[in-house]
Amino acid sequence: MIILKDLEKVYTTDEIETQALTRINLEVKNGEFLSVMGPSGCGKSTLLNMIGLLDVPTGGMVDIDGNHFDGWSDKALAAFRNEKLGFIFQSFHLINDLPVIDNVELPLLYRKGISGKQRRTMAMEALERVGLSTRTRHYPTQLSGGQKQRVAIARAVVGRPEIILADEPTGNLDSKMGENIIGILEKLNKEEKTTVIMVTHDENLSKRTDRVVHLFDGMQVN
Amino acid sequence: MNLTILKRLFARRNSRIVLLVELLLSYLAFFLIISFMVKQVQNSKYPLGFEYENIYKISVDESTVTDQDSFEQEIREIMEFIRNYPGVTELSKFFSSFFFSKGYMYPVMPLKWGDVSVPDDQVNEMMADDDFSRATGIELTEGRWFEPGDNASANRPAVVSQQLRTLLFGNGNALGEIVNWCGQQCKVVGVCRDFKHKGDYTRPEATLIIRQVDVEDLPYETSICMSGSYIGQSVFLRTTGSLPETFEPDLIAQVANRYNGIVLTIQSMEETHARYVRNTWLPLVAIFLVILALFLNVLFGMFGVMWYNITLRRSEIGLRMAVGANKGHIYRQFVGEMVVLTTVAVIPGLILAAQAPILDLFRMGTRVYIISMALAAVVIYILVTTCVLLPSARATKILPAVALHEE
Repeated sequence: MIILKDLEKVYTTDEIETQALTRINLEVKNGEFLSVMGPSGCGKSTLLNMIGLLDVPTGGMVDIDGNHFDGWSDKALAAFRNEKLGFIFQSFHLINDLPVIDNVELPLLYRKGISGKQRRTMAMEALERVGLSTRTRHYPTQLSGGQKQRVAIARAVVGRPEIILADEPTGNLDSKMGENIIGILEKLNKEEKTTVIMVTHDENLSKRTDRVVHLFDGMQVN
Repeated sequence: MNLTILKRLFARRNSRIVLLVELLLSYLAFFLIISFMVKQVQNSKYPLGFEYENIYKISVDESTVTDQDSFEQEIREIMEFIRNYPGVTELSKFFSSFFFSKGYMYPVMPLKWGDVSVPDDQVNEMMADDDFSRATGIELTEGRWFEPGDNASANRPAVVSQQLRTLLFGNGNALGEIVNWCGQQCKVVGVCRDFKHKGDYTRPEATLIIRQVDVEDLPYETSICMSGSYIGQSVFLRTTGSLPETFEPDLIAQVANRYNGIVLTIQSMEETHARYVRNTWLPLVAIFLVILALFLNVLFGMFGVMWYNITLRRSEIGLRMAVGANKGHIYRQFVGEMVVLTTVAVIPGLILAAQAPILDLFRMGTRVYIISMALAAVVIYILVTTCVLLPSARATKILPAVALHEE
């Protein structure tokens, strides 16, 4: 379970202080499919970064499965992210110099006790789950947007994380491709009981999730 | 991990080719200069085998001898005068390639003992009088040095160095054996320790020393038995350790006064040795510094490439952190990339460098080449790693949340 308690984030520069998140309180149950909606700049991605332990809150706390993260080392946080969390980004974030299979293997490189052969097998399985097992030797530049996002999903699920954090996963795709991607996420959620938190602008997509959280100007509005 | 880095390197091979070539050339340049340095150090491990302290080389400026008819007689008188001069303990005349020089003196034909033959270019040849061993401190391990009693000998007396002894006689007896030197029969009367008269940074040579009492006037059959460069007659003075500072000018003045203005030149062998050491190392150090400077240029290029790469790859760094890389992983990623890049350059470098021992290009011995190949690689790796530490450390400071939103 993910619990956010009075979560705050303030970005401070020399001259400006920006309140990105204000007192967010949220509980996400295991196996829930949650969407986060709101206008641009309302703090959706910041919220996802906090849950993904990619950024440090300036107030409040993040609790994932009973773990608070105050004082955790960089190493411990990285290992937690590696095992428990999977990320999907709007712009895919694939490494263009590496073929699809190596992109998918990436999280496993940082996990101890997995041999090269196991990595390859797990990556192949993940690619099969997103229907891209025939594209393993392709480079990202040789793929369509939808295929790239499916590779990104394969990379997110290859380590069998309990939580998937998707930041506008269909934002760069046409509606047909978006449908395809959301279908995969739904399948992951339903069949594998993976918790999915998805930031989206698309109301139709959000309707297909278990619950919608609305943010406005850094605050939760429902 | 390294396989992934190799794949990326291959994917970016076109942009890396210049850097790879620079690294390869740097490796080869380091290999060459380090080979010479290692060779010098290796050679310096062999004992010098003779003494140069308190020894002077003297010569008479022949142009100052006015009466050419009595020249030889006058020289003999001068030598006798110097031999008896206060502070002088030994005076020896000999003919060889010069001490602390790159000269050589070989017999014109192979040296033979029965069926055993040692090629002429493997035999360092010297001619020396009865006092040479005492004047230079060259030690005998078997037999004796030349003596006046050898005048009556039917064969020319010879002393061989330990190395030549092994080449000719192996473990057998050497003393009393007759060797054929340019058709002349020479009898081995002694074996001396190996010595390096060409200097500390050379190897001892298999040396044959023939007795020649009067080196001013080499007999024809002797003079045709040698070929070489930087060769000539030398006279060494061995002196007591405690000489007055005016020893050299006093001796020169006294010779000039006694012998009608004949000019005597005195050269301290200690100074000759110091000059030799300086002249050996200075060019090597200078070349090493030039190569280092050139290589630093390559490193600055690399530093720039790394810095630029990290800027370009900020979002990748963010991604890696998001999927589980910690700062150590990121650090190792970038250092590893440069190490792999260096390895890709060093491997062909090693293959090219290996041709030196295989073809025996510089006659330094396999051991020297192998040590130098390894040392050159170590130097390159240390410098490359040092150069990429700062950019790599910078990469670890990138915040993933920020980097992920950069394209």
